[in-house]
Amino acid sequence: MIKIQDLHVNVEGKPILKGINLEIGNGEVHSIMGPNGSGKSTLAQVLAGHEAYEVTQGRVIMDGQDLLEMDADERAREGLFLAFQYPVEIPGVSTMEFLKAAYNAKREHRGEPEVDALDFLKLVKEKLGVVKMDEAFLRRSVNEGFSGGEKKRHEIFQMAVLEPKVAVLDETDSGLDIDALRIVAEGVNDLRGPERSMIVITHYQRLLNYIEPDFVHVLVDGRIAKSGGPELAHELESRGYAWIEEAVRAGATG
Amino acid sequence: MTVMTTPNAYAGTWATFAETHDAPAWVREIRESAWAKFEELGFPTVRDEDWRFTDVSALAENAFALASGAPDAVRATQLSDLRLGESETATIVFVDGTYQPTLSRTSGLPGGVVAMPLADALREHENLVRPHLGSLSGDDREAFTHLADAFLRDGVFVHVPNGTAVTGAIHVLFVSTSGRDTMTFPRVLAVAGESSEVVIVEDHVGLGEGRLFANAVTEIVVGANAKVSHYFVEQSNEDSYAVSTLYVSQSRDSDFSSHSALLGGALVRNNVFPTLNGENCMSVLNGMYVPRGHQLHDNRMRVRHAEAHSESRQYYRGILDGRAKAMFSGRIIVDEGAQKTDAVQSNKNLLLSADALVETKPQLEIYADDVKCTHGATIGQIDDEAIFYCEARGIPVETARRLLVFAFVNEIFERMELDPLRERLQRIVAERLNERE
Repeated sequence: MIKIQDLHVNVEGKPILKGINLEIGNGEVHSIMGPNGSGKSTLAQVLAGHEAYEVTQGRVIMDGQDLLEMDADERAREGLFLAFQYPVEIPGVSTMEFLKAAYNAKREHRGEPEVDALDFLKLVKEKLGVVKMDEAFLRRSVNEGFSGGEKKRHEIFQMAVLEPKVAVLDETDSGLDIDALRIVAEGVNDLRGPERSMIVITHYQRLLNYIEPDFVHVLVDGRIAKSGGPELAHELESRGYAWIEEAVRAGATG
Repeated sequence: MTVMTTPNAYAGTWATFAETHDAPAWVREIRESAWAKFEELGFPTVRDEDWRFTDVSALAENAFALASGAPDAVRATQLSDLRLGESETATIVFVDGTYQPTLSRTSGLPGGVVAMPLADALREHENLVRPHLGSLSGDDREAFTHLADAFLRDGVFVHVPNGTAVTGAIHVLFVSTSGRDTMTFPRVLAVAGESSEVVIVEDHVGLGEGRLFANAVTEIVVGANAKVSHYFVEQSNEDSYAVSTLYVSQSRDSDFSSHSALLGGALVRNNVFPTLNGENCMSVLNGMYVPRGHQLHDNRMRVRHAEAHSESRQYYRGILDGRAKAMFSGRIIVDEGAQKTDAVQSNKNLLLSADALVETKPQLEIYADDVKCTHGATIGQIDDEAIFYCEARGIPVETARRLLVFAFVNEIFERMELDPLRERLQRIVAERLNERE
């Protein structure tokens, strides 16, 4: 479903990603872990199409199409979704209005007419249940005054409404208490399906107790240093990242 | 010492006006003393602190002629987009300074409520008009107000008796057609009795072209426990000068709100001067300005808390495009006895272009020692991260921009309870944003 080939990315002229290779099949969930500064969030942002990230080499193919040739909005309409690590507040734009604009942009892209207001309300209400959010959220400005947990649930809610082909979750678990984490994880599990691929970026192994990935990759210094099954996450929990970082250093100098 | 006296360019126009427009003796006295004060003060210049960026020298140098409106210059169909549907309880229309009986309708008002041309009210309702007309701000009147008083002739008079609530809005339309260096003096006096309720919409709309000058004065007396909302829409043609001053006097327990939307004009000066003359008053000044091209929108608030335990709120937001300029000056005066005053002021500006210029200035004059006054001002651009967030959801960048810019003023719209007017203004702002692409 999505294939990342030898991806190199600079931020302000400085290389951050130094050759990422990753292939995620239909219905698979891959977790990307790694220490701070290893390039996890850069990967998320560059896939979503943020302009501050400069791709110097490599390709990303989503569903047979060259993702990097598309603008951010087009990528989203083609089925990519990024759950932001830091969701942005948009004062004055209601969550409902925002979602409707996004939903209709997607429909227009597929040559479909604008969604009927009542049909959309019905859909949205149903999806709110995925993350146990109250209808009152729909009237509130996007992310404004939301708690950390509400912001993350809101991201998953949007994902539920927009039904992406490929979802990238950037540290969706960071800063959540256990109850919020459980709700978010259940929402994500709900949205797993044979036609949807997910990249779950996390700093903490804890999330993976709730979302069982098919594969785990460890990112160190802009490269995938180690890949494995779910058991790798458990190993990281008991041993930390140091042993992998050391191995990388040894490899680099040796 | 030599005193230089510049002859006032309007002296001849005024003399002719005073001679040819008869009025009751007490009105003629208002005109004469106002003219004397205006001659003394003259037009403000950029050397005046309050007019530093707002250059009205073109008005001082060229004598604009009094506009003379023909009775059928405008057809009803030309005004249909401005109508407020079922929310419009009464309509009073002026075209180029002249009352239009065929376009006006006041028959739907509850008994006892007066809404009529001021020229008639000066004669028929002297007892209701005379105590208030031209008296609201004492000696603190602007030079422009003196000029308007000097040319006092007609306008709109509204009187709501004690305990009467007018449902819907009284819609006052000051329409201008094309002209060249002509002037009008739109005028409104509204008196709301004790525990009464009324909504007044003052709509200034230019349907034609040319450099016009409108010098509007509105005086509103809000009785004890009364609730009055005033909407002011400035939509004159983009070559025009428009100066408007709203004087409000609030009695105890009253609730007043002023909503302004500045859209048109070349140079617009919007003065809003409420005085809270009683305890437990609420005064909300809510406004937006969206100048573009070479437009200048200058907002001056002067909120005076004269008694204790009252609250005032100023919420103004501006969106500037092109080479537009805007000013916001919010003065809060808290008199010595006005303890427990609670005053809030917020002015936010969004610049869509690097060439636009905005100046925002809070001014607090506090003579009481137990008050709460807060103010805040921001000037910013569209948040790129918010745009990216929208894009990441599939929303095209132009749509995202429109959404964000519109959202910026939405808070101001949301305070406007008069749905048809709010929707009209929202439509105009949305169209402007569409025109950018």
